[in-house]
Amino acid sequence: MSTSSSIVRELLRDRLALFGLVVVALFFFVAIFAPALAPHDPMEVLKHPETGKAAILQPPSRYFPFGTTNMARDVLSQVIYGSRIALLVGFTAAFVVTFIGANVGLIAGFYGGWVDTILMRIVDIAYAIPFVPFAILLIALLRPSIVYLIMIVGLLMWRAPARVIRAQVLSLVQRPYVKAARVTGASNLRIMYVHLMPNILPIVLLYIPLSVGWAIMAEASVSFLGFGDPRMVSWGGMLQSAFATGAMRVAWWWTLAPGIAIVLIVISVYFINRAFEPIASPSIRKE
Amino acid sequence: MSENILLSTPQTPLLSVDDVKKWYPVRQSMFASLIQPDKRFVKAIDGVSIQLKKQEIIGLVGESGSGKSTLGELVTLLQTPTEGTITFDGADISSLHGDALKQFRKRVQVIFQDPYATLNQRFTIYRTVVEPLIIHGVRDKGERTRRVKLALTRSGLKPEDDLLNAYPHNLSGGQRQRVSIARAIVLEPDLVVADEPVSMLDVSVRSGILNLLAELRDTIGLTIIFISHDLSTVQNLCDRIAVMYLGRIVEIGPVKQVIERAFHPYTRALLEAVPLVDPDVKRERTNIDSEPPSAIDLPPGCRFSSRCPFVTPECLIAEPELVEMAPGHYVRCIHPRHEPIWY
Amino acid sequence: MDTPLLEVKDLQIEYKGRRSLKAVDRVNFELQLGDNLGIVGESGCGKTTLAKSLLGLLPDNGSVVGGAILWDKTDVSHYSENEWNRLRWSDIALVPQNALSSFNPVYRLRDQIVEAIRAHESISVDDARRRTEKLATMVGIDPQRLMDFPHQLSGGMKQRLVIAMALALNPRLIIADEPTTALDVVVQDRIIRQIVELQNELKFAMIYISHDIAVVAETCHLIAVMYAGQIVEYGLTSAVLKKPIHPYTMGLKNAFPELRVDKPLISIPGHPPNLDPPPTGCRFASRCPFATELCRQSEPPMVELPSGQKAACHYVDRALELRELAAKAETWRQVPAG
Repeated sequence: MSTSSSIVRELLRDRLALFGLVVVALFFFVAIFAPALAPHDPMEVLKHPETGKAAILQPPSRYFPFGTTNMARDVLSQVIYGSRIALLVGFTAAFVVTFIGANVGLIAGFYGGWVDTILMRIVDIAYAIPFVPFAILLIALLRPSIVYLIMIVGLLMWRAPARVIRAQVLSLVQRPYVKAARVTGASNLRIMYVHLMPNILPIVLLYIPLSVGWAIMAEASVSFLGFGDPRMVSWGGMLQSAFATGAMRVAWWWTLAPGIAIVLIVISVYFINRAFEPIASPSIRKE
Repeated sequence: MSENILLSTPQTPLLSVDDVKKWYPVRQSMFASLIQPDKRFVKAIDGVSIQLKKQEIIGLVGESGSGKSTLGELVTLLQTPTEGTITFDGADISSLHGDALKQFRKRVQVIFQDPYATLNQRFTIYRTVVEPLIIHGVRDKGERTRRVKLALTRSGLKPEDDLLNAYPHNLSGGQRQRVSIARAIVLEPDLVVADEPVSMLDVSVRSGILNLLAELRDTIGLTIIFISHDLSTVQNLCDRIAVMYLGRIVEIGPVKQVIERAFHPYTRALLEAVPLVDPDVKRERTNIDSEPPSAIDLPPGCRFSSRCPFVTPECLIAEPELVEMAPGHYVRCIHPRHEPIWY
Repeated sequence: MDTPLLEVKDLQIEYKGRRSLKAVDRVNFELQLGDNLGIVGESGCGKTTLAKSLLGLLPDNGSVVGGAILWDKTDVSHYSENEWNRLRWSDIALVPQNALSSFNPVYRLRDQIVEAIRAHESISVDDARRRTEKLATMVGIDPQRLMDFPHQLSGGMKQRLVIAMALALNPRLIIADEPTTALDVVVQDRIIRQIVELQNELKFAMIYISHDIAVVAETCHLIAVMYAGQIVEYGLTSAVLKKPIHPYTMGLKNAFPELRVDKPLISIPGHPPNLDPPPTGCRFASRCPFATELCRQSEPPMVELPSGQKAACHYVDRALELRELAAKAETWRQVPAG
């Protein structure tokens, strides 16, 4: 049984995780084929085909299945295009988070001593910074952009995997097989990336869905507060527009669709994550 | 104090450990260091000298905390001594670097106790055994496979594809330990430190591993440091036994001599504490206190004095030297026991 | 006393999983008060599973699927957790292998033991303390040390206190699961002696599980040798270890290194069989140097000698000859591998 095949088996055995996988796959499909799937351009001001007037705040109908916004834009098309931002931010940030987290944890746990002390103090500092105020501050100083947003998520959220992986590495370096590798003359880099990495990979993988969830939530929160990338349609941005124009109270359809989309994808990645946990820590695995 | 002269063997030794110490500073709270400013140390190894001839198998025996495993780690350069020198094939190993260090790494290998933790569970058997060859730059794939298969065969395993592609959890404890021996001998080393290699294995497979080690000494000329807490395991395999107590050798000599004519009260206590299979024989014991003192605050004089039933005031004055009681049989005790052991 | 204290009858325990296996298969034995049974065998032979079933501590996926565990004539094999809670510790107590995990590091030892006693018996704190001190003295620990925290005691002292804990409620049966495996030989020796003395004094029944036949030889007067989920040989320890009649016992004995006994150490080739499904015939046949076609075809019955010594082997009557052959290392080397 290799790692990857056991992960796949575990995921398929867990019904909720399977559901999560299907939902995430669906969102990927929607994001990739957004131009073909979306009935309209998300920013296009639409006219009602029957009256010929601007279709402002139309409730769901056969012309606009998810309704329209106060600028007469199609909510369905916006939700479809919004999935691109959500997945882009989610997966890119998750990659940054796990990449930094795994390496910091590996280096701190492997070298120990002052290297460990310094890196772990940085982790402590990262833990002390509240995410949303920090993100708002930085974006206000720089400019609203999803690139910055991904960087901010990456720069703060690596703290969790770093800490957990360090703890794991601390116990792994005491293992006889690591000592045997040293006695054979393996370099530090070789021990870290050839011998230890495969053993911490399950934990690293555990943090991918988790960070996807964090990042999508973070993007939505920051956009909702009005610091999103104005050139792009995102789910959080949609909620923000609905809220800012005061249309939230009347146009329930405007918030319902992006709201459900956010909840659905975040729940899905957590379901996937949940199935990963027994793989990462065999102590809770029941045989 | 050097004991070189005492313990030297006529032939040039392969390995020579000379008055080596390994002390670890004790972490103290800030308050404790105020009232007791001088640093305290755990004296894991506190002056050990030993020499090994080529193809010799020596048993290091002692309770947990005796320093036997630490000595193994010093010899394999997993740790460096606080004081003293270790010479391997004429060179001081702490001064090695670059190519010389790499050569040393090739010639000294290690086998550990736990058959589960000793193998990387994410590596196949082939990957485990080939790793030392990759590290030492054996580029040719065919050559690597040939040598992996040879090492596995020498370790008593059949190097078929099933085994090469298996993961450690597919194997039994005895098989795993054979794989770890294959990993240790794939570079054809001169010296292997075996740290309790059979103590976690089932009795039925232990002797297989012990016989294998003895065989490897003859076939590929291995010199072996065999670390064990169990005297009965050591007796069939080793040429000499060194009994360690709190960081020092208290008795060393040919295996038969030590087991049949132990002079040190501690060696006797260890021997007499081994349970016997024959239920009709009633053992007699040298009554020693079952718990050793801490290696931080050693008693003055002989370090065994606090547990020794034969202690006299002289024992507390100075730590005894190793004295040769019989050819090659040295004892660190001023009241060596001459009466026959009960058996 | 005619009815035994504990009677294990045809006990079968199965672990369910992707592949189910019978870890204990048709095991029989009886125990009276004052009896002292050692169970030896290699890892995976089912000895720990057997012990767990006698304490109602089988894991969730393990269950008794046949036979009975008669404790005081009552079948307890299907007891509920509540029923076990009344029986366990107060009447059947465990001495586990690992003393480290038996105590909570943040409480003083005395308080922990007192708490535990009072959870089972309604006695005053003072009485419980007095009993705790008496127990500590009994296992050779200065009652003063009870005011310490667990980390202040050595492994050997903690293991003694674990024994004291097991004795606290005057159980009639003590199950000791490798209680000295993690300890140094001098400490082990002291604890073995202590256990024997306590048993002579208090007359409880004991089941002592170990992989070390010498430890069992010194602690138990009865021995059961387990292999692949079954008892293959049973009898008085002195008889079984001196004159084993099952080839597996002969192998175990000859593989066991003994100080000063100059004998060639044998090793039993191969490894225990897979139990899903178990092999037909004798389960030891694949590793046995004396196995014949009969052994591979039919399962040997338990044969009892007039002395009471029993073994599950087709060739019990050839034991004398087999013992001589089994002492030679070549005999075992002839077994075809695989």
